[in-house]
Amino acid sequence: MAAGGGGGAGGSSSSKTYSFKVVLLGEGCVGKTSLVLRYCENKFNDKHITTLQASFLTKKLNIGGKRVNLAIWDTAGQERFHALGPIYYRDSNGAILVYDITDEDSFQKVKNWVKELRKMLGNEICLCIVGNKVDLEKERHVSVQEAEAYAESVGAKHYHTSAKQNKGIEELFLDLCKRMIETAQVDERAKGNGPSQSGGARRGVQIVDDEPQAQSAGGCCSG
Amino acid sequence: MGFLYQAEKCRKNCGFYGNPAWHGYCSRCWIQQRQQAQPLTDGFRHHTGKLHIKPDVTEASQLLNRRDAFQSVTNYNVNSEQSTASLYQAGSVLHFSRPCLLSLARGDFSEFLKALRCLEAQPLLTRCNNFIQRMQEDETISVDKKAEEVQSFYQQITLYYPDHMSEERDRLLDNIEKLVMTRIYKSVFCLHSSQDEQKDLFLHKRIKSLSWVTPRMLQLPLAEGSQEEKNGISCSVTALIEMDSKRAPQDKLSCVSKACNYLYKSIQSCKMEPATADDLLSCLIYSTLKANPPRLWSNLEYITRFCNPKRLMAGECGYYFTNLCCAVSFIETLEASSLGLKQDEFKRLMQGSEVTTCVSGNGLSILQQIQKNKELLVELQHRQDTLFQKAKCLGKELEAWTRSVQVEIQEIVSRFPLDAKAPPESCV
Repeated sequence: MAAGGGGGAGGSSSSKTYSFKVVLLGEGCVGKTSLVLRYCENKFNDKHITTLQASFLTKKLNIGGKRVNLAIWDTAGQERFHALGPIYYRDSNGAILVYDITDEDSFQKVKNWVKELRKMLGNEICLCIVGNKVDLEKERHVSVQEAEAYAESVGAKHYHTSAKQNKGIEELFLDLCKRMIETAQVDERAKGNGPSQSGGARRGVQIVDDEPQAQSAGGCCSG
Repeated sequence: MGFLYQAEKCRKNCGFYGNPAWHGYCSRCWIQQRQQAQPLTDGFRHHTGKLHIKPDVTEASQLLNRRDAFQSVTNYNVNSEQSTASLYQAGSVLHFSRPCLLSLARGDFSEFLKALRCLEAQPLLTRCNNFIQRMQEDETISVDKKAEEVQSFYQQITLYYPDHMSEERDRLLDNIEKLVMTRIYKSVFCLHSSQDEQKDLFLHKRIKSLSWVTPRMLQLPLAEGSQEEKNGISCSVTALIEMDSKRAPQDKLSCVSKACNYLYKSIQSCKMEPATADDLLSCLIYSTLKANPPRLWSNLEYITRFCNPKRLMAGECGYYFTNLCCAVSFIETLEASSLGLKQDEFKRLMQGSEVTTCVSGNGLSILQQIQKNKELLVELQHRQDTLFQKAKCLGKELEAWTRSVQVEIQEIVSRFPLDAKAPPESCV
């Protein structure tokens, strides 16, 4: 890739729109699809039929005046596709790792994904570990303490959701977006403070850019 | 006229000082202006073209150095020139008025070309043409280096638009991408000097050798033999093959999207559930195997090198493209276990297909048919043989029977000799 930092590269003004890529990882029947459909279209099960696909979905958000375009990429979770993971999560800003609280194996899979993600993308990526199907609390096989302790140990956040009862999903995505914005801002600042000369040059250009910005304010009020 | 004898900045507000000898422009804007007035005859054309391409940062740092050099007192009347000066928004990159930016960002490509020919957009057109010419003619630059340059060219284009016009910016970038890539396609796509051609051949052979893979082995979510399956797969196969005939990266990408959308439709109508990534990927792998798209590797490389990165990283097309990359990677590394086969079974199928590679495609089913016919013929011959034998036997039996009948008759005749003449006489 010639031009780096395509995804969440940010400008300095607050009118900037952030575009984030979030990958969705998890085994076959942990409810990835239901989770994302519930979030983007507020649909569950029987109403699914009208939607053509649940593998690439987008959502527009406005968080504290910052516009965010979220692109959610479902990944193929079957074992035979395991080696293809890196192709999917290249350049992603966030990852949602889903497991089924009634299925110990699916939690082990999440651990594998986390290792791989950290190895390939380092700490740039915001990780969310999500225990889905909390409506089946009685059949829980993954203990809350274990899951939360694990998440903390790898620098991820842990969430409990139920796509069926629409619990915890809004919070999950909102929280993730806030963290991704923070990461992007830290990134921007690091870039801005890099070579001092270019920093000065940038400031010079910004002074000249005053006029178009005034236009932008007008546009915002009317819109 | 109280403003006379005052140090005056360049009419373009670029930050340098202007000079009345250059009609109030700084040297650099003046060259640009002249070039605009007579673009073809200007001897500076090539030179200034290169100047334009310099990244923003270096220009801005030059600005700091050059300021002192231009500290001459100039005489320049603002009022008389204000109307034309306002046409140019300030900045060290090219700047255009809002209506011009809007007209350039219209969705349709032919309208974009029209807008590009208008007077105000001239600098942009010149810049593009210079860039394209350099990319086409310079054979010393490697493809990767060219890709880098194209990408930084895209980056500069984005600087024309303020942040709040991001949609227009994306559309202009699409148009620029199409313009530039359509014209330099031949000098960057699948060159003889690169390894791409060999990789294309390798991938082509690999896909050919896997022609025996069935939908069931890939666990397609489509009902086998159903109309949806046939339609979806054949439509997406057509779209994948079509990809090679397009020039601009975005057009190639839209072929991939088209293929995926056909698959989505048939998956959805078979499963009655929205398609997941697993569904899409397995169907796409099967379509790729069936299509064996020409120069597949080169096409993938070309798109990654020259596509607008924003589209490729996060957009919907990017998602489909990623899936296609996954499909190719799966095909390249595929083993017995990935198809749910046993090792020896896989080996046998691979070897079997090597013999038949020259027939390709439907060849396998034809060969199977021939084999079946052969077996049938052998069986038929066998049955015919037994029939002949039985017929012979029957013939012999018949002969024996007639003989035995004759013998019997003779025996009877000899035992009871007929004296037919005497009794009738006695009776009468």
